[in-house]
Amino acid sequence: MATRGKKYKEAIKLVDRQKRYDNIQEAMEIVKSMTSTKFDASVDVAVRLGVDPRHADQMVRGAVVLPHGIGKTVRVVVFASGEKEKEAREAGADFVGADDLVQKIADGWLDFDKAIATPDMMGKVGRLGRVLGPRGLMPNPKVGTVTTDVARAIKETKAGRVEFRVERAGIIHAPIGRASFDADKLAENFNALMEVLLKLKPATTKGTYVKSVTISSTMSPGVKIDRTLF
Amino acid sequence: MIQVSGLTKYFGPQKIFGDITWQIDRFQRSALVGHNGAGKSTILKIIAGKLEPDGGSVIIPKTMTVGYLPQEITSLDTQPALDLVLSGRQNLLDLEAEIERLQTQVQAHPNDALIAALGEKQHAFETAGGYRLRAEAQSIMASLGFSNDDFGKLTTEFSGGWQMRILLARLLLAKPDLLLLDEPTNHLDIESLAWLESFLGSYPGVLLIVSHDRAFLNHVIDGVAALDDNGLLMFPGNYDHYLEMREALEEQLEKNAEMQRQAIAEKQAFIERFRYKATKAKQVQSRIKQLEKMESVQLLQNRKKIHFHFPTPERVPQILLELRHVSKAYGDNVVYKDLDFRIYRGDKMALVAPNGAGKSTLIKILADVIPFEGERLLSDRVKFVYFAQHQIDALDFKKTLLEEAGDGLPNTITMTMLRSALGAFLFTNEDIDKPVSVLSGGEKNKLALAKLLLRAPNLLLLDEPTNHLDLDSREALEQALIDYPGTIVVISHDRWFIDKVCNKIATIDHGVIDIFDGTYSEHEAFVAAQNAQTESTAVDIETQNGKKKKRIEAAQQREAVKKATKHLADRVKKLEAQSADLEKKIAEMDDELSLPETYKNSARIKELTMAKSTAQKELDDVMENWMMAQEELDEAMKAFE
Repeated sequence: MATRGKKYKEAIKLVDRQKRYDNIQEAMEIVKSMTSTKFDASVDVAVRLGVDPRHADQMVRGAVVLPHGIGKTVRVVVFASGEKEKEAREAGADFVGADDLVQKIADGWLDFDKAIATPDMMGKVGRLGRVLGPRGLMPNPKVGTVTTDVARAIKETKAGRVEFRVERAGIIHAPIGRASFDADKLAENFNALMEVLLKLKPATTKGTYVKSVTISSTMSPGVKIDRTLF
Repeated sequence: MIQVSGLTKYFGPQKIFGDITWQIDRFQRSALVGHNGAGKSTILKIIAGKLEPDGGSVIIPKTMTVGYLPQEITSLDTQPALDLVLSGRQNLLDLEAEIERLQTQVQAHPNDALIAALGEKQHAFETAGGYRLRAEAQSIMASLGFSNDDFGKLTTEFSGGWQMRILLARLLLAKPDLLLLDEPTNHLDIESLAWLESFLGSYPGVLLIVSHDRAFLNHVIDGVAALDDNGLLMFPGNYDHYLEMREALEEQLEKNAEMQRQAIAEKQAFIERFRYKATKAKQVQSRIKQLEKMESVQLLQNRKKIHFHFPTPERVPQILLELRHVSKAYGDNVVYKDLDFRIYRGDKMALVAPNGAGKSTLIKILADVIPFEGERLLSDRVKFVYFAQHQIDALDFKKTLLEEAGDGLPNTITMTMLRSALGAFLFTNEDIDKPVSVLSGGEKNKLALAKLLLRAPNLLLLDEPTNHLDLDSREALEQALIDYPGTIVVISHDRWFIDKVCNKIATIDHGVIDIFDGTYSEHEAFVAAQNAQTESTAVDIETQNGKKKKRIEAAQQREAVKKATKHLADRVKKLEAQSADLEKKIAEMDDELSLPETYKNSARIKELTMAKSTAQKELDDVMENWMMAQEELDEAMKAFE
């Protein structure tokens, strides 16, 4: 049996483990109070969905732009050439390139958090599948990272665009901010995420869609939210 | 769920099995067991759709994917090994090609429909684990013992055993819903086997395994389907549990059969007695009907258990065989350098190491069948036999089994002993007149073994003696070797077998031999404890290497201490045993002296008192010697600290 640390044992006293919190703001306050890390901990949400991800039509995947961002600088690289290259630079991309960028990444450079590509670059970017794919960095039209509107994609990503997808056990994990955020800002971010998640409910799912929602910060106990709110 | 109903198969006029009905549920992990020739592999082939049954059917849901690993392979396509393994997920390779095609099209003519299609395909590829496919394939291959250089080698460059591993890797990558494995552990070394066990332990589908490796089955399965002439019998639990349950069932059935025999006899006696008595006619008729309706109790096929006693070998000196400063290299590959190695009387030693570490080389050096540098000292009166991996090639295929077994044996071996030895290896009376040429691989192996063991050797050098043997034969060999009074050095990948037979484990690592005094499970526990200790402190690779070197040095040191102090330790042990015997004797005499009957017999009292005082004196001497020996041993040990 895993043993718990002192801080965790202290933190768990602050939360009622049996209660399902219906006041999001209150839940956020508790999460903030439980945080005892020396760094600015991230606040994360875990939502268990009533979907079977083994069926392709029940795969929940999407992205949401959080109104208050996630409090982290996102390093973006853009595969683009010509006009689009200029557009990307102006929009604040950290690195823009075409063949040179492909080569740089193929040589082992992976110092970025997100990759965006214009459709006309996909033939070249495709070659990086084995490098970017396993790290979840491969640009994909389905989540808006293969687009002609690179400026918007960069701005959204920088502003706090969070991608999520259901994992094997039917759970979505996503960050919604930092412990230093105000509780109301965290609550707004949370609501934005849940709104998108509900919109993505697959037509083929049966029974309850949102089975449980838990909010926690890095290394803290979880605070359970009343699922009937959704 | 898989439904097997009324399955029947003939080979020529011979019925292999008939009317097999079996329902295999989701997530079931079963072993199919039975004696050689019962039709286990045939059933797997029929379920896999590789063979048509003569009767009955197998119903597998359409959505279920089936993967089958045959016992032997005929030929493989010539292509790089990694490519063949990847072809296990051909659907993903096709999807990858489709994505590449779409990416090129999107690049040339970007339009919304194409971009959306690309997104869908990419998403499907990612969800199915396409981006991790190559890494996963390489990881499986590495776990099965392939090196990085092997990935690109052509399949035809590998030996049969390695080709089987390639096929196994392909199957494990494909992760079919129903995985049928026929002898998957053949050709695997212990490390790969342990990995395969843990892999199958968390396998998400249905498993059906035919294997003769008891430890492997015990780890992986949760049910046993036992095939014999009466059909298929299901037992829950692992293989050990199956053996217990089967034994209990056999006993129960025998009791039932006995009760039935008695009931029949009673009824028949009644019928005979009152057959012609009109007043009892009704009761007689009723009993006749009862007899007609009675179904006879079917007994299970008997699992034979015969103990074979080896001819007692001649007593030999304490050190049977010694290697001094032995070096051996194959070209640039140095296997042993300046190796010192001893085999002591009573050792039952297993050589354990990954493939290619030099186990067979060592045993060949011990048997003096390959050239090497250095000294090999064989003590007087040591008569050894060497069982090579391909020992069956030495058999004369034209002779009958009995003729071949008796060929070249000393005159002291009588025909009864010969027949009893063959019986111990589960050859029946009908078998012994068969020509050697018609025996199966397993049977030839057993014959070669029986032949060697009958020569009354005092040292056995066995290289993979359990290959191709079915579980019953393995048990027979296991028992024979446990009872064997001589010395054994054996190479085997069957952990159960090693654990039962051996009392010393020699691990070989880069030409250094580390000898552990104890059984294989004790060795495993020791290694696990050591590893846990190592893992508990985070160390970088350099320190790791340093630790390894230190471990090797410590092992060498331990070995040196053991060698130098063995005679003392043995003496201490012997004296301890002597003192225990004497103490027991004295206690018995005390007991007798305290009996009232003894008091009436003055002669007996005198006799006992005398005997007691002699024994006491003897005990004092023994204790004194023991103390001295113990001190000597302690000092010798201290000298090495």
